[in-house]
Amino acid sequence: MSDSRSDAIIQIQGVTKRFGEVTAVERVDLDIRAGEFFALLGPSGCGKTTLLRMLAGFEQPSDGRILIGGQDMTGVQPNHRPVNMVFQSYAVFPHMTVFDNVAYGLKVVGTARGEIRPRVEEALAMVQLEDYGSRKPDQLSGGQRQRVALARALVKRPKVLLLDEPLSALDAKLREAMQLELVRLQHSVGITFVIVTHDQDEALSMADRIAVMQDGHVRQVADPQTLYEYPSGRFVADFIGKMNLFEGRVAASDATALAVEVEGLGRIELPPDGQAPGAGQPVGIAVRPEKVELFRKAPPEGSVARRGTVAQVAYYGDVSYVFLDLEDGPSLNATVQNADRAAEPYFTKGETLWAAWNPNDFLVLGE
Amino acid sequence: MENWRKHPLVFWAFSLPPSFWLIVFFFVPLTLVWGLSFSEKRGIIETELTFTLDNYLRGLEPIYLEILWKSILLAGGATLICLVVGYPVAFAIAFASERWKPWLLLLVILPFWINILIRTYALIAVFRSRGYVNFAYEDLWTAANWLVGLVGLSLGERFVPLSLLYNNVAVVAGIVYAFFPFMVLPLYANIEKLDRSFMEASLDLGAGHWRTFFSVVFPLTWQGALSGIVIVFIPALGAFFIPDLLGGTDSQMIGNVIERQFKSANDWPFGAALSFLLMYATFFALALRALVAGRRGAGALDA
Repeated sequence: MSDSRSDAIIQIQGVTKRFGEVTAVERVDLDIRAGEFFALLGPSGCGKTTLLRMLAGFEQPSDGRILIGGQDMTGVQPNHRPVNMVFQSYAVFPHMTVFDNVAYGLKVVGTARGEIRPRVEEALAMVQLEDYGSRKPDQLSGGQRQRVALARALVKRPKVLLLDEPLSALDAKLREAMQLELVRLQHSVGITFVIVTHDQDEALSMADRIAVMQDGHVRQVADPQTLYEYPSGRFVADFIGKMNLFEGRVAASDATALAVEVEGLGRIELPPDGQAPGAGQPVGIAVRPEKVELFRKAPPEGSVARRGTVAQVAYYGDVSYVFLDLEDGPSLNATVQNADRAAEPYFTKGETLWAAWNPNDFLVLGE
Repeated sequence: MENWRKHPLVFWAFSLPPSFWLIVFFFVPLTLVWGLSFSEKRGIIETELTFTLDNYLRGLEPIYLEILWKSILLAGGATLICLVVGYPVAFAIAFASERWKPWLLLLVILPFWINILIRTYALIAVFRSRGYVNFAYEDLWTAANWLVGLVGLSLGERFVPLSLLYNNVAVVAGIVYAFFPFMVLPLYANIEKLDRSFMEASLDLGAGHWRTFFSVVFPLTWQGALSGIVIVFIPALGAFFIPDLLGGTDSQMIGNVIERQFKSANDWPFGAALSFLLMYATFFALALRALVAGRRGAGALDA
């Protein structure tokens, strides 16, 4: 969180929000850079929506302050903030046509009549709804209604566009298409997007940077790859993607080597890690399923290898999840790419295999 | 479950009691009065069905049309006041915390627990020259008079009470007081189910609170307002004891005229004709409402 202050369009400084006894957001510091696609990611109840609503001005922080474009937003009403929001329910006004919905935000601030029509048409073209201006919202599909909500917010040319779970109401295929669409749109308009989502795929695939939240705290802020490959802690490691987690104890830790004694796996030698706890301390080590390779013959030297029996195979077409019961107890999940159509035979239940992975792919997670 | 249609016994068991009720206590009396409106008086209590239209023609004489028009104005004014005051009240209840909501609703409904006649008499005690409003006013007047007396001025020889009773204003106040809950409840029901994000979206797009109310909240809760208007206006139009108790000589409503035909004037056929004229006017208003609601409903709200 030591980003340079100059290019931050949103600065969240020590913001806390309490609802009675409940603390929804606690001492959050966050800078969002101008022009980036930023995601607030976390399970429900983690405070991400409350944080977004504080940016929009629907909630006031109990403590701390929010700056947008360098200006303190404390006490500034939603209708005077340089941000616009796409609501989870879209909130497209049912009694107005698509055109009137998009024009509403311009009319209420007294935009010149001659300017309204071209700007509304431009915004509708941006979301590919040029021919839908005279329709009423109940004549539109969910995806189209969402585009209206987008156009309605973008026509205001906000400094920041806030999106509250914008894709949650769409079916899977449409959701994927809209993900790409939103990224394309964000690139073409160059406006900062802040999206709230509980869907990690959505956040990983769309955002430039992601803040992972839990219990009102920001646990990690990073680009998607860093978040996935170098999660800062157990929560992030577990929340983002799939993970094989083993509990153990540090056997040796110094500048040259790190060894962890894991129940069922034995002693595992890892590259030295300055952050790792001292000898005798409990520690978790984790490896992503796609980093685990399966072999019918003995695996190559230098990898961590264990024998196990296939307990279950979940076939997804492009990939299969293979669940192994390792010989000494723990179970292990490996993702196998079904890259070769002719590869015969596929792994089957009951088969005994070698599971192997590179010790560098281990994540060391403290308490 | 469409099965009940297949069991005639169940069907009859469910539909007979309400049908019986409707026929015996609604259609039969209504038909009798309808017949009466085409009858002529033959004696003190005897009437004869002669299919005459004289009663209706008499009801359309300027003097009665004028009273009907006046009734519409008084009832309409009262309805408008109920609407203007009812919106903020309904809003306040809908936005109150879950803990307060039932209590606030109870406060709105509470007056129903007392007979309307008693409540109207109570209004007399509030409004008359030796009533509570005037007591408070007198205290204020006396204090103000004493104050200006300090600088050698006077507000007048003595206190003159406000005449709050026995005029049109008192009638309107009485109607508003009696029917106010009928306006608040449908409004509350509509505002309560209105998605809050519509209001937030409007604010977010730069509209102020007034603009949000007139451009978003009102059009989306108009159905509730319409229901409120109908169920306040119709009984208000037929009110008779409120103008009787609170009104003066010039604040008679059509209800008073009808009541008089059945009682002191003892002209039931004419009273029946007037009743039906009032009912036709009401039907006309209802048809208008259905028309407006139908047009707005088409394409306004999706489920």
